[in-house]
Amino acid sequence: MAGRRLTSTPDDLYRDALARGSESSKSGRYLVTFKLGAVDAGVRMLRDKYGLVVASAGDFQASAVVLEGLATANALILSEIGVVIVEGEAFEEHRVSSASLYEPDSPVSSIDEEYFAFGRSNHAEYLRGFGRAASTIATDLAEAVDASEVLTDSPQVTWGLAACGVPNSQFSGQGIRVAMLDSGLDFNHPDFVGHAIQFNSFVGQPPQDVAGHGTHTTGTACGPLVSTIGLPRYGIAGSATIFAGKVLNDSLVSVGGSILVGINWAIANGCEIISISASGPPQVQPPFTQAGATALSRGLLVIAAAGNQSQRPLRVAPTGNPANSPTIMSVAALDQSLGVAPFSNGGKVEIAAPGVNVLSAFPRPTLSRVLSGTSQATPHVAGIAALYAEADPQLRGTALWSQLQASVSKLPLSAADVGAGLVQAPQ
Amino acid sequence: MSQIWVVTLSGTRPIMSVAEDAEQAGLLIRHVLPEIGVILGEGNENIASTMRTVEGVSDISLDLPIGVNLPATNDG
Repeated sequence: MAGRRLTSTPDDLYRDALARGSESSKSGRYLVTFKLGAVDAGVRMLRDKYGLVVASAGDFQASAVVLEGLATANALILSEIGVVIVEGEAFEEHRVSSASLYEPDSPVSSIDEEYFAFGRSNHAEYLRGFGRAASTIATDLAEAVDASEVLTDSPQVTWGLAACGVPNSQFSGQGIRVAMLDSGLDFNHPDFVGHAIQFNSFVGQPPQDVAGHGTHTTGTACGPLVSTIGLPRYGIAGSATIFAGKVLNDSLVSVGGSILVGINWAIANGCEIISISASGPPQVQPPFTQAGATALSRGLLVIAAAGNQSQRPLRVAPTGNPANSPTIMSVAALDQSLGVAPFSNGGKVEIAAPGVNVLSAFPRPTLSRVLSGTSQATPHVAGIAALYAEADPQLRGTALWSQLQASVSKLPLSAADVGAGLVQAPQ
Repeated sequence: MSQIWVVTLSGTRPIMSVAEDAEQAGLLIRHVLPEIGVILGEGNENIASTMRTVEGVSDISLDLPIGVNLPATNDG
């Protein structure tokens, strides 16, 4: 099975997957991720305990791996990101996936099957041109927002941040860790250069964001207070440490297991807030409920998108998982008149935030986009949660949940659509 | 046909003990998530009924797809 070797090209791997008759989304190889600082110990373990022949990308000039140079190896260590690619046959013959790898002192963080990265088919649908108006918004943020007004971006700040009272907040998320479980991040985007960022990928692809979704949501939650590229302020908790966990692949697809692995990673790394802009079917999933409960008990708050399947006023789709778990805060999307967005799911909703025509960062060379969805509403809540967490160290877990709901701007809408109301930043 | 299963634990036993029993029961362990008490593993459709008899398991369910469901009338 030549297709599962380190020397295989992507075409070889795909032909081999088709020949196996297995799920063609999997390459047949495996990715072993080591814990931070445990690369050397991990490589020793794979060599000494499992007998693998481990080559290093660092052995190649500028770490540019040449496939022909891997002919005698059955594993390749990528030291910079702490990941080993293991050939399928070697992985199975040496039983690398034994439970012993997960002992507390093991250097292994996770083992994943490698997935193919297919081109996005919905790129054109996903993207939207700039829609920013040049007019200014109401600046007296202490007063209740007039719901009959159509809010627009100003040269200083996006309409969403203004509606949430972010510009007047004295907080910026200093000392708070926010896990963004999404499609990764463009780490070299000018507005993120120099930002404190930790990252990991749980989908077998590099953490660099290709789809743009993760960069956009992270921009809203943790983008800079002053954009280096001349955009209005679009970031809320600009001083927070970002934990960018890639749980959506480059086609914006995932499985619940990858989200769970990401939540586990965020908890293990002491994050205070976890933001998930993804949703699945409306069946409540026990592992998500348990993960949310564990997070709350450990002083974390998991915030997730309600989902975008509604076609209001004709049909209101129920909140999807993981947001429909009782231990996870569900976020609905509001439009620029502070009405519920036509696509926003309903039923189990705790809070609402701006989710239509949201300007934020996007991977280079585009740099910024205007997008809509409960995906965009969720990081508004996550970023503001980070501000509260900075403001008061007692505001963690359930206390933070309660504070977010207690400080909303009330809306004349059903709680099933917008929960407690429009999230508001601490002043 | 082999599928990915999500095993939620009750917390009554150490997660590694449950993982070892799960492996003995035929589940190929993919992830042990000690922070949230969940094990991800691969096995055929018969593994669910077997796993429900393992002490410390409160639920086992198939891993479901999840993603970004773009607004039907919009873009993000």
